[in-house]
Amino acid sequence: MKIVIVEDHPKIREELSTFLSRNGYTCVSSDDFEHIIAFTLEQHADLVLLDINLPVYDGYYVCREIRRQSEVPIIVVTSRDSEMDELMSMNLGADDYITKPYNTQILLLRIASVLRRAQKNPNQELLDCGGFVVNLSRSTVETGGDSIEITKNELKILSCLYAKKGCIVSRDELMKYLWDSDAFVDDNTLTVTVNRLRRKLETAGVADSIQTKRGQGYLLL
Amino acid sequence: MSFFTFCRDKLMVSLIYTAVLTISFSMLYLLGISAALLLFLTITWVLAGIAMLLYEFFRRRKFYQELFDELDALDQKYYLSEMVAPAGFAESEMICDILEQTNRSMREQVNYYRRLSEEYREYIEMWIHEVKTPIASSRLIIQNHQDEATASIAEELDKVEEYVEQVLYYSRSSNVEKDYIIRKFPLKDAVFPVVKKHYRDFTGHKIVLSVDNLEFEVFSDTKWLEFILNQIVTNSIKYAREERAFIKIEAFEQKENIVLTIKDNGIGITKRDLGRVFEKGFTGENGRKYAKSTGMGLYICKKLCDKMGLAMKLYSEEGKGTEVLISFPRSRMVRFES
Repeated sequence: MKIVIVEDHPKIREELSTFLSRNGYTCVSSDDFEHIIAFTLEQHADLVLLDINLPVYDGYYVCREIRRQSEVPIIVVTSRDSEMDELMSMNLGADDYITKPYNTQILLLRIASVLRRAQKNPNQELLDCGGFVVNLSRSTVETGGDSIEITKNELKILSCLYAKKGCIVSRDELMKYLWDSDAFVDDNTLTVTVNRLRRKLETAGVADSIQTKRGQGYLLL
Repeated sequence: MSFFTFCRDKLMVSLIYTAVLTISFSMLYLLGISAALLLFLTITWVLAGIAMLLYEFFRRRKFYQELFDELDALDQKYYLSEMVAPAGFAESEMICDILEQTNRSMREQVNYYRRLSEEYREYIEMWIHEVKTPIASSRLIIQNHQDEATASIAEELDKVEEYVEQVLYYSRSSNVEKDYIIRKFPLKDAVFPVVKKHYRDFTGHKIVLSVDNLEFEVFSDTKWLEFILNQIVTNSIKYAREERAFIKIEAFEQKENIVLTIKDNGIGITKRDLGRVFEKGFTGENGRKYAKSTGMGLYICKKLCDKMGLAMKLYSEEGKGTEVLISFPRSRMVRFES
């Protein structure tokens, strides 16, 4: 995943690209603000992080120009935080709006969710988990001919685990994912929900597909 | 102006007039003018004197009566100078002139201070946006160099951010011009970002959060409402009890309002302090005992609510908990404070 960082503050630019690189993104940036629009478009990136207070061209102008020529997702990052600024960015075609000083975890979540939205393909309604299929639109788990209903939060947990299928997802990560998708669960509820989900899968005939890694998190096989 | 006060004003003039009449008529009498003629002259002169007094009285009374009526009718008394016109006698012209001059000088002073405070506000807002950049870069640096020390700095940074936010909204709340945008949105749009901010407090075993019924749509400015809710939720977390703490955020409908309530089972507020929580700089017992408090949070919230035409109420019982209610008028036709 390639992200273009359009930011005039050198320190933020540097630290932001270090931070995002550590989280698995490739970052590019430029300090030539005269040609920033052309630069951004040339990168064919997956996402643009755009500051509003820029030298030479105003960020709003940059946003509009990029949007005119490309469908690349844009997240506006700014220290201006009035309702007016937010409405303006959205009207100019930005996909999301984050105010400085941002919480870095929230920034990651927003980036992930904008990317997810941008890449959604029509098959995304069904998550093929090997032994079973999750139907997102009907909120069910289907195995062979059987279909069992699962709750909204169970569905969210499954899609989060599915996104990192085969890798361990830490409880903290899972929790953040749930909170970002408006499910405000606490530690106990998370444990209970995962256990209930596991039991449901068992009754549907798929045992042990969600594994617990003690002290590390969960894993979808 | 009553007739009596008018006569009292004219007492000296009348006395001199009477004295002059008496002296001249005594002279005429000594010169041997007939009594009948003298009587006739006396009556004529006295009547003429009274007539002059009455004329003066009614002319003045009309002018001053109008002046006072205008004054009573005016909301802003300083507009008086624009409402009065001279009534054809010298005094009235002078009064109008004086009013106009004092008014002009006052207007200049008011404008001067308005400009000063406007400049100051602009500077504060600019400063806040400036200071957010170093805060943002500090956050990133901390993120890229995680250890015990930076974790502790991050906590301090949270406080800095909170204070900065407070200054911003304080300056917005005291601005005479309207710089908010009222639009329709479901309550959850303002509540969710706030609870997500306090993610750490709610996901541990510390405080249980429940949100319910937030689909109701209200008219407000989301950013302002977010600030208000954040102050309230921050208080609830700050003054939460040690065990089994909860915070409930719910909304319900009334005939003319949508009411949002934020309820906790925290330490509560003593009866003595309850009436003063919205006062500027009031910290109360809790602020002194438990946590450092600036006493500005709720004051600013109240001001912002007033500006947007929302009602804010706070109920609390010591040791049991606190509940804050914000009611949003259902119709858009409310009078916002200008």
